[in-house]
Amino acid sequence: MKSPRLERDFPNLRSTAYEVKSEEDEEYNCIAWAANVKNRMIWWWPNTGYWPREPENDASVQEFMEVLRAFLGYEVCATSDLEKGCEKVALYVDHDGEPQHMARQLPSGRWTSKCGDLEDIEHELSGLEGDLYGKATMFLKRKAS
Amino acid sequence: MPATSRVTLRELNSSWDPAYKEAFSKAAKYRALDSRRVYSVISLHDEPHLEGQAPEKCSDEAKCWRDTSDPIAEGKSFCGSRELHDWLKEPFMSSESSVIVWKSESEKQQVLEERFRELSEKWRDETGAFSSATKKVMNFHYLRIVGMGMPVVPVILRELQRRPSHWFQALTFITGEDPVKPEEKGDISRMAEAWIRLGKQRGWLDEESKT
Repeated sequence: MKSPRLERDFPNLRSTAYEVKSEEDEEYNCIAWAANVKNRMIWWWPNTGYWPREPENDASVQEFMEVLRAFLGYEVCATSDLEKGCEKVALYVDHDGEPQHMARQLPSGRWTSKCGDLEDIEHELSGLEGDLYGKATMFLKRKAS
Repeated sequence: MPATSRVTLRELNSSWDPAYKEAFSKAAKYRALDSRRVYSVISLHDEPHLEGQAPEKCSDEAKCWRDTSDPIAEGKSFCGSRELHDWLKEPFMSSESSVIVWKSESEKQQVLEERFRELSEKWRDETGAFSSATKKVMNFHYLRIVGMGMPVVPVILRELQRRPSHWFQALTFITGEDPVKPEEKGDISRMAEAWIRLGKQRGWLDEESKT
């Protein structure tokens, strides 16, 4: 299933493969979804949502990296290439250097994302790149559960 | 008691309030004004009535117009019986003429709710894909809702009951309060419940309202 609304907000989806996998839901966001935090499907964000510590650097890449490492068990990796036994996430960073989104890699090598209040989708990494989320520039991994 | 506001015709024309604008554009085109739907009373003066002073006390019969179908006006005598569009043709009317708009509380509430609905739809449309709650609340339409002040608080709380969403910062900006406990942060349903509880305590929401 396709979404004209998502294609409007993320024009790259029009030229890449993607599929809508859920209804819209305003109660959780990309971080909970990407990190597979099933017991706390809530809205993670420094200052304005749930954040496991008092943010030291607002919504900076450094703040995200530290929290993803300390509270969710990720470590930085160099590429988005599929690695057996690992679960990878990609952090999208906008042109101001602020993280805007996180996607999780599926065992197939494709990616899954919760797009704000909108639907969960399966997509290519470049499908969500653009003005809204910026580029997928940081990659982290942890042992697959 | 009816609510009043005083603006000039120029301000009326550029006002954000769609009901004002509708009334002005109708009047300016010399079409009949559906005053029963939007306004109870409109009084037109170069020197305006004092706020809250009813037009029936006005001694200037030449410049006062009254919709006699207005239920608030029932049983009272009024100066003038000409149609609004006739008064707008008079030379004393200019873009700087003052207008006192009387609206009943229910009419005022209806305008407020329509305005909220319009702005919140635009806000959802523009920010629905944002993962950052901070970016969501820095949106132009969201900030215009905040600018509506205390009168919009009951409208937001009813919206939270119907569809929990990111209205918490708006409520905190307007009221200066934050009933959300640290452990509830990010849990949209629990945050909504905390605000609805506070709304009932403060009298912003009816006690009977569903939780």
